[in-house]
Amino acid sequence: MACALCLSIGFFTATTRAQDEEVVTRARSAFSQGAGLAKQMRWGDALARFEASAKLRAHAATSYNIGICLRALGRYTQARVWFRRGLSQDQAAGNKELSASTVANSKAYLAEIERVLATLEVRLEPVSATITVDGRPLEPVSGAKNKTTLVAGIAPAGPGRAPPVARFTLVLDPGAHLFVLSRKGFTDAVVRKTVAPASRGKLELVLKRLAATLRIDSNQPQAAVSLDGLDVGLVPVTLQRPAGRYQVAVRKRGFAGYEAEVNLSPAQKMDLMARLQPRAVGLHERWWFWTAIGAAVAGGVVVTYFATRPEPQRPALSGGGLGWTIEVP
Amino acid sequence: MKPVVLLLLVAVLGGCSDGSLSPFGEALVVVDTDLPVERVASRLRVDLFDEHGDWFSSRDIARPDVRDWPLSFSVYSADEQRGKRVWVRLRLYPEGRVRDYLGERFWNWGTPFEETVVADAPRLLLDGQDLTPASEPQPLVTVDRLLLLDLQPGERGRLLVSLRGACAGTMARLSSDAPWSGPAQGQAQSCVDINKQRVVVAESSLEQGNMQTPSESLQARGPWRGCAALGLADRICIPGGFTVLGSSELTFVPSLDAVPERVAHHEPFWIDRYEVTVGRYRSAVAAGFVAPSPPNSNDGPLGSTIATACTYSTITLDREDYALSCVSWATARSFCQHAGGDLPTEAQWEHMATLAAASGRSRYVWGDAPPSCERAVYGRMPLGGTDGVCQHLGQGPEPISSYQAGDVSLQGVVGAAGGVGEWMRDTFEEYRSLCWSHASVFDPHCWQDQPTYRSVRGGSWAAPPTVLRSAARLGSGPTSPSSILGFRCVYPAEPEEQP
Repeated sequence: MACALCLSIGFFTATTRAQDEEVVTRARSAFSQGAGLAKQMRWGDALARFEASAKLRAHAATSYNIGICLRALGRYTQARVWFRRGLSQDQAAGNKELSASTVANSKAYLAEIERVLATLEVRLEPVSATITVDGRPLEPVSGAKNKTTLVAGIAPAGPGRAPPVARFTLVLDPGAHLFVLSRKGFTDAVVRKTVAPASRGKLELVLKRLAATLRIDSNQPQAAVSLDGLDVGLVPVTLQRPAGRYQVAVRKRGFAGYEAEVNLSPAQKMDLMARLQPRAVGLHERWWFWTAIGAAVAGGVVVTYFATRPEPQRPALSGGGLGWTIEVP
Repeated sequence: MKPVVLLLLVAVLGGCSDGSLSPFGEALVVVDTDLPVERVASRLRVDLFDEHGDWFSSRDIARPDVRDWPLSFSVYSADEQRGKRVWVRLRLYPEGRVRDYLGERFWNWGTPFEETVVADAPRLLLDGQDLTPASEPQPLVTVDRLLLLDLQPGERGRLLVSLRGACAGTMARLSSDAPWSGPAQGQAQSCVDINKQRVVVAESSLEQGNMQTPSESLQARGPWRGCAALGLADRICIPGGFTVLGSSELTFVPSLDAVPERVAHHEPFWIDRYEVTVGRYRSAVAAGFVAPSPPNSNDGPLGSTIATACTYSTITLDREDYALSCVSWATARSFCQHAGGDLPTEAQWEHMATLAAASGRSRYVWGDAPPSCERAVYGRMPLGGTDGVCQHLGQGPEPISSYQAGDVSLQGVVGAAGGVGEWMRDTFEEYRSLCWSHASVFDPHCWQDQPTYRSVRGGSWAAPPTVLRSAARLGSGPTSPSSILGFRCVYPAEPEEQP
């Protein structure tokens, strides 16, 4: 692979103005370092140096070498951009920047990349959702009138952009990819998909509406909240849950329990106030009720029961399967 | 009320009862888990704190038999005048996975594994005696759950608690104000059922009057889930479930240590029965596979040193059934992706390589028996000036058909221990690194772009026997192909239906 590199740095010796000399020197140094690293197959490091060189001074040979590095790293869509750029730069310079063999290599690599790239027919819902693939927005094919073909991996890393249409053809490198979609009011979607070289497939990317927010409070502090039987904390508590029906229970000792079923819609914000009432004291719990009953029946039986009364027993502790009964001091 | 009426009332109420006193306030705590107790977590540590956060009891028990689950015990208060609150801390962990107790050392996901020494660590003192346990469970392999019970005189009830594997590694936070003290109400948090998430611990509601321990347990589901589809001859289904990643038995130097161990969960997956061979690679190229960088070729005879034993040749020789070696990480991964899969993660590979033991985890692919020269291809090259331990059987690599003798996993994966080392998808970083501290219980991994080293698992024809351990870790430069390095691929699988 390394032998296919364009290793000459002679092109930098072409006529330059005096004020460019320092820039050219730095570009030449970066190029030379890149070539050395590429010969060791350190493609990532070599790419960084070639990119630094291209930033200082654009040249078809540098573009070609960047393409070589990207291809070696499996970043084919980017490699395609740079091979094409190298050929354009060479043409613009009157075919003086690349040798005939390098031009032939560029075309061969471009043909190879076309055979390797994968395509996906993507359906996006809702259409206004922004999308990134591997942390980069999608780009339309350069110069193409047809805006329904987009390319992954060539735009700089950054926030997602909404594609122009809901259905589009996506060209991407073979391998594993991470699709991230987002839109206000909807949950972000993260989808991993692996595509084989030269494969064609379909991908449906549908965002679900945002989860509902349920805030539960009570007129009593320190009341415990459970949702579908699962403790979720003390009031006030704010929960994010998918749309659906839930059983809410709020409990506090000494108060009647509060229970409710809530039906949450997507993105809905619902406030629930559990008003806990002190537990009512029933008639049978009034002291005078039992006094009266007791007075009525006690006279006839009290002496007999006193005579035969057994020693009071306390129910045995459970201990469970482990037989542990742990006393709280 | 006249005194005589009151006297009669007391007498009647006392005499008409069934001869029993009202019960003490008591809670029956029933503990179950979805972690396989035979293989992963068989020990339960129970610590209790009073309502002021003072530690007053600590117990620890092993229950590795699934028939013993769910476990149950009771906590009670003999105070007949007022209710009492009690904190119960339950920690479920594997046998032997403990560290020295040095006070409460809270650790959170995504933070460095630093061992903080706590001054004035809380002690368990009872009647003037220091009963503080010498050790505590290792956090990354522990499900740590806090409960708050309110024991009222005369009330008895049951509380069912599920210690979920998803919570392994998520330490309970006892107090946010004073991290080294006992639990504090409104501040204490623990994980209930969502990986890496804690909720504020609220007072648990008891099922009043129910003091029965259920006979049904989550253990009845069994530890593994297989693949929905039937297998192919050249791919093996590795069942999914909870397991432990790493081994405290393997501590060499920090960069190679297989600690700290952690609980890991895998979905079932397919893996190649054999390492990718020269012949398979050649067929893939003929079918259109384009390698980022072709393997280093060797059109001469196969040598017996690392420099001369590359197996790939540009022309077809008699090495088509040798494991492909001298291949870069990028090419190995690209090959697997071309085949519809990927390189295994370290956790996937180790899971596959530790399934041979009926309980616990096997030390080697085939079980716990130490390697022998007849079982696996290793030690076939002098190392450090001395002969390789299996050099008498020949030097250099062997064809994959020779691995069949015994280097076979329970499921049928061949040549994982010896042959060639295998590229993994992960960055090679210490398990103590920040990268691994972010890894989840579910499909744990450490992936970084363009790292200096990629992970390698499994021994090679040149390796000493230590490297054949299933949990042993190595790393290599991703662009440094070597004749002791090859690969095999994994593929996603649909899990079978839960019974």
